[in-house]
Amino acid sequence: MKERLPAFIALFMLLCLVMMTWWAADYAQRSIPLDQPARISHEPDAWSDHFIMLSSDPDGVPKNRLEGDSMQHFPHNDSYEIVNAISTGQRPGSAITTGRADLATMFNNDKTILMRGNAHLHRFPSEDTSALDITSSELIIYPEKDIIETDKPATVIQGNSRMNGKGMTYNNQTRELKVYANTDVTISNKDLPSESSNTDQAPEENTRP
Amino acid sequence: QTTTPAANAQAEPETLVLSDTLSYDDKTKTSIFNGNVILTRGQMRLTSDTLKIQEDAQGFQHGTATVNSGKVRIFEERPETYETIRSEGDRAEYNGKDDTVKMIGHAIVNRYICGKLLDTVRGEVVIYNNKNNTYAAQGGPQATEPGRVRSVVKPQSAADEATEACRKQYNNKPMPSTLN
Repeated sequence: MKERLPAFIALFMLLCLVMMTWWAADYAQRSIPLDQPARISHEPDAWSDHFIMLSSDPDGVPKNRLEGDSMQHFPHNDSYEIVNAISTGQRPGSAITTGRADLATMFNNDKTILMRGNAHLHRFPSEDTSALDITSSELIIYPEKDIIETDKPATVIQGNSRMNGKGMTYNNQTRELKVYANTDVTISNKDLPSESSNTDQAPEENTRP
Repeated sequence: QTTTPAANAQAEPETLVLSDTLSYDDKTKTSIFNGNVILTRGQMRLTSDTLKIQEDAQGFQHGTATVNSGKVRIFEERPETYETIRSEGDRAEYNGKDDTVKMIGHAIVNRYICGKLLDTVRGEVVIYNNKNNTYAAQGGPQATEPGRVRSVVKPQSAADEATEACRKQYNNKPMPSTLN
Protein backbone atom coordinates (compact mmCIF):
# COMPACT_ATOMS: atom_id res chain seq x y z
CA MET A 1 0.00 0.00 0.00
CA LYS A 2 2.99 2.24 0.94
CA GLU A 3 4.60 1.87 -2.44
CA ARG A 4 1.38 3.09 -4.12
CA LEU A 5 1.22 6.23 -2.03
CA PRO A 6 3.26 8.34 -4.47
CA ALA A 7 0.94 7.31 -7.30
CA PHE A 8 -2.07 8.37 -5.34
CA ILE A 9 -0.45 11.66 -4.41
CA ALA A 10 0.38 12.30 -8.07
CA LEU A 11 -3.17 11.46 -9.11
CA PHE A 12 -4.58 13.70 -6.41
CA MET A 13 -2.38 16.58 -7.50
CA LEU A 14 -3.43 16.02 -11.14
CA LEU A 15 -7.09 16.17 -10.14
CA CYS A 16 -6.48 19.35 -8.18
CA LEU A 17 -4.76 20.82 -11.21
CA VAL A 18 -7.69 19.95 -13.48
CA MET A 19 -10.21 21.38 -11.02
CA MET A 20 -8.17 24.56 -10.58
CA THR A 21 -7.86 25.01 -14.36
CA TRP A 22 -11.55 24.51 -14.88
CA TRP A 23 -12.41 26.97 -12.12
CA ALA A 24 -9.96 29.55 -13.47
CA ALA A 25 -11.42 29.25 -16.99
CA ASP A 26 -14.95 29.58 -15.66
CA TYR A 27 -14.02 32.52 -13.49
CA ALA A 28 -12.36 34.26 -16.44
CA GLN A 29 -15.40 33.57 -18.56
CA ARG A 30 -17.72 35.03 -15.98
CA SER A 31 -15.65 38.05 -15.31
CA ILE A 32 -15.75 39.36 -18.92
CA PRO A 33 -19.01 41.28 -19.41
CA LEU A 34 -20.70 39.84 -22.50
CA ASP A 35 -23.12 41.84 -24.72
CA GLN A 36 -26.60 41.50 -23.41
CA PRO A 37 -28.53 39.10 -25.69
CA ALA A 38 -30.85 41.19 -27.90
CA ARG A 39 -33.98 41.57 -25.83
CA ILE A 40 -36.74 39.71 -27.71
CA SER A 41 -39.08 42.54 -27.41
CA HIS A 42 -41.27 44.49 -29.76
CA GLU A 43 -40.31 47.92 -28.59
CA PRO A 44 -38.76 50.23 -31.17
CA ASP A 45 -35.17 51.14 -30.74
CA ALA A 46 -35.29 54.17 -33.05
CA TRP A 47 -38.07 56.55 -34.10
CA SER A 48 -38.51 59.88 -35.82
CA ASP A 49 -41.07 62.36 -37.12
CA HIS A 50 -41.19 63.58 -40.74
CA PHE A 51 -39.28 60.55 -41.90
CA ILE A 52 -37.61 60.49 -45.32
CA MET A 53 -35.44 57.63 -46.52
CA LEU A 54 -33.76 57.83 -49.92
CA SER A 55 -32.00 54.93 -51.61
CA SER A 56 -29.93 55.37 -54.73
CA ASP A 57 -28.21 53.23 -57.30
CA PRO A 58 -24.44 52.74 -57.42
CA ASP A 59 -24.12 55.95 -59.46
CA GLY A 60 -25.86 57.90 -56.74
CA VAL A 61 -29.05 58.42 -58.70
CA PRO A 62 -32.09 58.17 -56.37
CA LYS A 63 -34.27 55.13 -57.13
CA ASN A 64 -36.62 54.95 -54.17
CA ARG A 65 -37.90 57.43 -51.67
CA LEU A 66 -39.89 56.41 -48.63
CA GLU A 67 -41.35 59.12 -46.47
CA GLY A 68 -44.03 59.49 -43.84
CA ASP A 69 -45.31 61.43 -40.88
CA SER A 70 -43.47 59.23 -38.41
CA MET A 71 -41.22 56.17 -38.37
CA GLN A 72 -40.36 53.47 -35.86
CA HIS A 73 -37.60 50.88 -36.23
CA PHE A 74 -38.00 47.48 -34.56
CA PRO A 75 -34.75 45.59 -33.88
CA HIS A 76 -36.30 42.13 -33.42
CA ASN A 77 -36.99 41.83 -37.13
CA ASP A 78 -35.16 44.91 -38.42
CA SER A 79 -38.38 46.43 -39.78
CA TYR A 80 -39.57 50.00 -40.15
CA GLU A 81 -43.14 51.15 -39.64
CA ILE A 82 -44.08 54.43 -41.29
CA VAL A 83 -47.36 56.24 -40.74
CA ASN A 84 -49.05 57.97 -43.72
CA ALA A 85 -46.36 56.58 -45.93
CA ILE A 86 -45.49 57.61 -49.48
CA SER A 87 -43.20 55.34 -51.46
CA THR A 88 -41.90 56.76 -54.71
CA GLY A 89 -40.02 54.69 -57.24
CA GLN A 90 -38.18 55.96 -60.29
CA ARG A 91 -36.12 53.95 -62.73
CA PRO A 92 -34.71 54.77 -66.12
CA GLY A 93 -37.07 53.44 -68.75
CA SER A 94 -40.04 53.05 -66.39
CA ALA A 95 -42.77 55.45 -65.40
CA ILE A 96 -42.55 56.96 -61.92
CA THR A 97 -44.81 55.28 -59.37
CA THR A 98 -46.00 56.54 -55.99
CA GLY A 99 -47.55 54.25 -53.43
CA ARG A 100 -49.52 55.65 -50.51
CA ALA A 101 -51.06 53.99 -47.47
CA ASP A 102 -52.08 54.66 -43.90
CA LEU A 103 -49.28 52.43 -42.64
CA ALA A 104 -46.23 51.01 -44.42
CA THR A 105 -43.97 48.30 -43.06
CA MET A 106 -40.57 47.89 -44.68
CA PHE A 107 -38.68 44.67 -43.97
CA ASN A 108 -36.65 41.89 -45.59
CA ASN A 109 -33.56 44.11 -45.89
CA ASP A 110 -35.67 46.96 -47.28
CA LYS A 111 -36.66 44.76 -50.21
CA THR A 112 -40.34 44.56 -49.29
CA ILE A 113 -42.78 47.33 -48.36
CA LEU A 114 -46.21 46.27 -47.10
CA MET A 115 -48.70 49.12 -47.61
CA ARG A 116 -51.80 48.71 -45.48
CA GLY A 117 -54.97 50.81 -45.18
CA ASN A 118 -56.25 52.73 -48.24
CA ALA A 119 -53.31 51.51 -50.24
CA HIS A 120 -53.10 53.35 -53.54
CA LEU A 121 -50.50 53.08 -56.25
CA HIS A 122 -50.36 55.75 -58.94
CA ARG A 123 -48.25 55.24 -62.05
CA PHE A 124 -47.65 58.50 -63.87
CA PRO A 125 -48.45 58.69 -67.58
CA SER A 126 -45.60 58.25 -70.04
CA GLU A 127 -45.31 59.06 -73.71
CA ASP A 128 -47.31 56.10 -74.93
CA THR A 129 -49.67 55.36 -72.09
CA SER A 130 -52.01 57.08 -69.69
CA ALA A 131 -51.82 57.02 -65.92
CA LEU A 132 -52.68 53.86 -64.02
CA ASP A 133 -54.10 53.63 -60.51
CA ILE A 134 -54.35 50.55 -58.31
CA THR A 135 -56.26 50.74 -55.04
CA SER A 136 -56.74 48.02 -52.47
CA SER A 137 -56.78 47.47 -48.72
CA GLU A 138 -53.24 46.14 -49.00
CA LEU A 139 -50.46 46.41 -51.57
CA ILE A 140 -46.98 44.91 -51.40
CA ILE A 141 -44.23 46.86 -53.17
CA TYR A 142 -40.91 45.27 -54.13
CA PRO A 143 -38.84 48.38 -54.91
CA GLU A 144 -35.84 46.54 -56.31
CA LYS A 145 -37.91 44.58 -58.79
CA ASP A 146 -40.37 47.46 -59.40
CA ILE A 147 -43.26 45.03 -58.83
CA ILE A 148 -46.50 45.64 -56.93
CA GLU A 149 -48.82 42.84 -55.87
CA THR A 150 -51.74 42.02 -53.61
CA ASP A 151 -53.85 39.00 -52.78
CA LYS A 152 -56.76 41.20 -51.76
CA PRO A 153 -59.59 42.58 -53.93
CA ALA A 154 -58.27 45.48 -55.93
CA THR A 155 -59.42 48.05 -58.46
CA VAL A 156 -57.36 49.27 -61.39
CA ILE A 157 -58.29 52.45 -63.24
CA GLN A 158 -56.68 53.47 -66.50
CA GLY A 159 -58.26 56.37 -68.30
CA ASN A 160 -61.98 55.75 -68.05
CA SER A 161 -61.64 51.97 -68.01
CA ARG A 162 -61.93 50.14 -64.73
CA MET A 163 -60.93 46.66 -63.68
CA ASN A 164 -61.87 44.83 -60.47
CA GLY A 165 -60.29 41.58 -59.43
CA LYS A 166 -59.01 39.58 -56.49
CA GLY A 167 -55.28 39.13 -56.29
CA MET A 168 -53.01 40.76 -58.86
CA THR A 169 -49.44 41.52 -59.80
CA TYR A 170 -48.26 44.60 -61.70
CA ASN A 171 -44.73 44.71 -63.09
CA ASN A 172 -43.82 48.32 -63.78
CA GLN A 173 -40.79 47.42 -65.88
CA THR A 174 -42.64 45.14 -68.30
CA ARG A 175 -45.90 47.04 -67.66
CA GLU A 176 -47.77 43.75 -67.39
CA LEU A 177 -50.76 43.35 -65.10
CA LYS A 178 -51.98 39.89 -64.09
CA VAL A 179 -55.23 39.38 -62.23
CA TYR A 180 -55.77 36.00 -60.62
CA ALA A 181 -59.49 35.77 -59.88
CA ASN A 182 -62.91 37.29 -60.41
CA THR A 183 -61.90 39.66 -63.15
CA ASP A 184 -64.51 42.28 -63.98
CA VAL A 185 -63.38 44.78 -66.59
CA THR A 186 -65.29 47.77 -67.92
CA ILE A 187 -63.63 49.11 -71.06
CA SER A 188 -64.85 52.59 -71.74
CA ASN A 189 -65.03 53.79 -75.32
CA LYS A 190 -64.09 57.23 -74.11
CA ASP A 191 -60.55 55.84 -74.00
CA LEU A 192 -60.41 55.75 -77.79
CA PRO A 193 -57.78 58.39 -78.46
CA SER A 194 -59.09 61.58 -80.03
CA GLU A 195 -57.14 63.68 -82.55
CA SER A 196 -55.58 65.67 -79.67
CA SER A 197 -52.54 64.30 -77.91
CA ASN A 198 -52.95 61.36 -75.56
CA THR A 199 -53.05 63.48 -72.37
CA ASP A 200 -53.51 62.07 -68.88
CA GLN A 201 -57.19 61.26 -68.70
CA ALA A 202 -57.17 59.92 -65.16
CA PRO A 203 -59.50 61.81 -62.78
CA GLU A 204 -57.88 64.94 -61.38
CA GLU A 205 -57.22 63.72 -57.84
CA ASN A 206 -55.33 60.76 -59.18
CA THR A 207 -52.68 62.80 -60.87
CA ARG A 208 -51.51 64.67 -57.75
CA PRO A 209 -48.09 63.14 -56.85
CA GLN B 1 -67.92 63.52 -93.01
CA THR B 2 -65.81 61.18 -91.01
CA THR B 3 -66.55 60.88 -87.32
CA THR B 4 -63.46 60.87 -85.08
CA PRO B 5 -63.18 57.84 -82.82
CA ALA B 6 -63.75 60.03 -79.75
CA ALA B 7 -66.98 61.52 -81.08
CA ASN B 8 -68.04 57.98 -81.95
CA ALA B 9 -67.15 56.83 -78.48
CA GLN B 10 -69.74 58.94 -76.75
CA ALA B 11 -72.59 57.08 -78.51
CA GLU B 12 -71.05 53.60 -78.10
CA PRO B 13 -71.86 51.61 -74.94
CA GLU B 14 -69.13 50.45 -72.60
CA THR B 15 -67.70 46.97 -72.92
CA LEU B 16 -67.94 44.86 -69.77
CA VAL B 17 -65.86 41.68 -69.55
CA LEU B 18 -66.09 39.09 -66.76
CA SER B 19 -63.57 36.26 -66.58
CA ASP B 20 -61.60 34.13 -64.16
CA THR B 21 -58.20 35.67 -64.87
CA LEU B 22 -56.75 38.53 -66.87
CA SER B 23 -53.32 39.28 -68.24
CA TYR B 24 -52.89 42.84 -69.51
CA ASP B 25 -49.79 44.11 -71.28
CA ASP B 26 -49.78 47.89 -71.23
CA LYS B 27 -46.97 48.11 -73.80
CA THR B 28 -48.78 46.18 -76.51
CA LYS B 29 -52.24 47.18 -75.20
CA THR B 30 -53.23 43.52 -75.17
CA SER B 31 -55.69 42.00 -72.70
CA ILE B 32 -56.08 38.23 -72.48
CA PHE B 33 -59.10 37.05 -70.52
CA ASN B 34 -59.21 33.40 -69.52
CA GLY B 35 -61.93 31.18 -68.05
CA ASN B 36 -65.73 31.63 -68.30
CA VAL B 37 -65.41 34.81 -70.35
CA ILE B 38 -68.59 36.87 -70.66
CA LEU B 39 -68.38 40.06 -72.73
CA THR B 40 -71.38 42.38 -72.67
CA ARG B 41 -71.60 45.39 -74.93
CA GLY B 42 -74.89 47.18 -75.08
CA GLN B 43 -77.46 44.58 -76.18
CA MET B 44 -74.83 42.04 -77.24
CA ARG B 45 -73.28 39.29 -75.10
CA LEU B 46 -70.47 36.95 -76.09
CA THR B 47 -69.42 33.85 -74.13
CA SER B 48 -66.18 31.93 -74.67
CA ASP B 49 -63.26 30.33 -72.83
CA THR B 50 -60.64 32.84 -73.93
CA LEU B 51 -60.85 36.38 -75.23
CA LYS B 52 -57.94 38.40 -76.50
CA ILE B 53 -58.51 42.13 -77.01
CA GLN B 54 -55.84 44.24 -78.64
CA GLU B 55 -55.85 47.96 -79.36
CA ASP B 56 -54.33 49.03 -82.66
CA ALA B 57 -52.23 52.11 -83.29
CA GLN B 58 -55.33 54.22 -83.99
CA GLY B 59 -56.92 53.01 -80.77
CA PHE B 60 -59.52 50.67 -82.28
CA GLN B 61 -60.07 47.43 -80.40
CA HIS B 62 -59.86 44.02 -82.06
CA GLY B 63 -61.03 40.91 -80.26
CA THR B 64 -60.61 37.17 -80.83
CA ALA B 65 -62.72 34.73 -78.85
CA THR B 66 -61.96 31.01 -78.77
CA VAL B 67 -63.16 27.97 -76.89
CA ASN B 68 -61.44 24.84 -75.66
CA SER B 69 -64.61 22.86 -76.25
CA GLY B 70 -68.12 23.71 -77.39
CA LYS B 71 -68.82 26.91 -79.28
CA VAL B 72 -68.29 30.62 -79.04
CA ARG B 73 -71.79 32.06 -78.69
CA ILE B 74 -73.07 35.55 -79.34
CA PHE B 75 -76.52 36.61 -78.24
CA GLU B 76 -77.92 39.93 -79.37
CA GLU B 77 -81.24 41.59 -78.60
CA ARG B 78 -83.13 44.38 -80.35
CA PRO B 79 -85.95 45.18 -77.98
CA GLU B 80 -87.49 47.82 -80.25
CA THR B 81 -88.01 45.36 -83.11
CA TYR B 82 -88.56 42.33 -80.82
CA GLU B 83 -85.62 40.60 -82.53
CA THR B 84 -83.04 38.30 -80.96
CA ILE B 85 -80.03 36.98 -82.87
CA ARG B 86 -78.13 33.92 -81.73
CA SER B 87 -74.81 33.04 -83.40
CA GLU B 88 -72.29 30.34 -82.71
CA GLY B 89 -69.06 29.12 -84.21
CA ASP B 90 -65.64 27.71 -83.45
CA ARG B 91 -64.12 31.18 -83.18
CA ALA B 92 -65.27 34.79 -83.27
CA GLU B 93 -63.36 37.86 -84.35
CA TYR B 94 -64.39 41.44 -83.71
CA ASN B 95 -62.94 44.31 -85.73
CA GLY B 96 -63.48 47.62 -83.99
CA LYS B 97 -62.47 49.67 -87.00
CA ASP B 98 -65.00 48.11 -89.38
CA ASP B 99 -67.38 47.31 -86.51
CA THR B 100 -67.84 43.78 -87.79
CA VAL B 101 -68.14 40.47 -85.97
CA LYS B 102 -66.87 37.42 -87.84
CA MET B 103 -68.05 33.99 -86.71
CA ILE B 104 -65.57 31.46 -88.09
CA GLY B 105 -65.83 27.66 -88.35
CA HIS B 106 -69.24 25.89 -88.49
CA ALA B 107 -70.87 29.29 -88.18
CA ILE B 108 -74.61 29.46 -87.61
CA VAL B 109 -76.67 32.64 -87.20
CA ASN B 110 -80.34 32.41 -86.21
CA ARG B 111 -82.71 35.37 -86.13
CA TYR B 112 -85.84 35.20 -84.00
CA ILE B 113 -88.75 37.58 -83.73
CA CYS B 114 -90.89 37.25 -80.65
CA GLY B 115 -89.12 33.95 -79.97
CA LYS B 116 -90.03 32.47 -83.37
CA LEU B 117 -87.11 31.37 -85.56
CA LEU B 118 -87.28 33.24 -88.86
CA ASP B 119 -83.91 33.30 -90.61
CA THR B 120 -80.95 30.94 -90.43
CA VAL B 121 -77.60 31.36 -92.13
CA ARG B 122 -74.98 28.59 -92.02
CA GLY B 123 -71.50 28.59 -93.52
CA GLU B 124 -67.86 28.42 -92.70
CA VAL B 125 -67.73 32.14 -91.99
CA VAL B 126 -70.61 34.50 -91.26
CA ILE B 127 -69.73 38.19 -91.08
CA TYR B 128 -72.12 40.53 -89.34
CA ASN B 129 -71.67 44.24 -90.03
CA ASN B 130 -72.96 46.35 -87.14
CA LYS B 131 -72.83 49.58 -89.12
CA ASN B 132 -75.18 48.62 -91.91
CA ASN B 133 -76.85 45.72 -90.15
CA THR B 134 -75.99 43.18 -92.86
CA TYR B 135 -74.80 39.57 -92.92
CA ALA B 136 -72.41 37.94 -95.36
CA ALA B 137 -71.70 34.23 -95.36
CA GLN B 138 -68.91 32.23 -97.00
CA GLY B 139 -68.74 28.49 -97.61
CA GLY B 140 -65.69 26.42 -96.94
CA PRO B 141 -64.49 23.09 -95.64
CA GLN B 142 -65.55 23.97 -92.11
CA ALA B 143 -69.13 24.86 -93.03
CA THR B 144 -71.88 22.71 -91.58
CA GLU B 145 -72.28 21.52 -95.16
CA PRO B 146 -68.72 21.52 -96.46
CA GLY B 147 -68.18 24.10 -99.17
CA ARG B 148 -71.72 25.43 -99.01
CA VAL B 149 -73.65 28.28 -97.44
CA ARG B 150 -77.19 27.41 -96.40
CA SER B 151 -79.67 30.19 -95.69
CA VAL B 152 -83.29 29.82 -94.74
CA VAL B 153 -85.19 33.09 -94.89
CA LYS B 154 -88.92 33.29 -94.11
CA PRO B 155 -91.11 35.73 -96.11
CA GLN B 156 -91.44 39.30 -94.81
CA SER B 157 -95.08 38.66 -94.03
CA ALA B 158 -94.10 36.03 -91.48
CA ALA B 159 -91.72 38.54 -89.90
CA ASP B 160 -94.40 41.24 -89.82
CA GLU B 161 -96.89 38.81 -88.32
CA ALA B 162 -94.47 37.81 -85.57
CA THR B 163 -93.64 41.46 -84.88
CA GLU B 164 -97.33 42.32 -84.61
CA ALA B 165 -97.87 39.46 -82.16
CA CYS B 166 -95.09 40.79 -79.98
CA ARG B 167 -96.34 44.37 -80.18
CA LYS B 168 -99.67 43.21 -78.76
CA GLN B 169 -97.94 41.12 -76.15
CA TYR B 170 -95.89 44.07 -74.89
CA ASN B 171 -98.54 46.76 -75.48
CA ASN B 172 -96.43 48.57 -78.07
CA LYS B 173 -93.56 48.81 -75.66
CA PRO B 174 -90.05 47.44 -76.40
CA MET B 175 -89.35 43.88 -75.29
CA PRO B 176 -87.68 43.73 -71.84
CA SER B 177 -83.97 42.98 -72.10
CA THR B 178 -82.62 39.76 -70.58
CA LEU B 179 -79.02 41.03 -70.62
CA ASN B 180 -79.09 43.69 -67.93
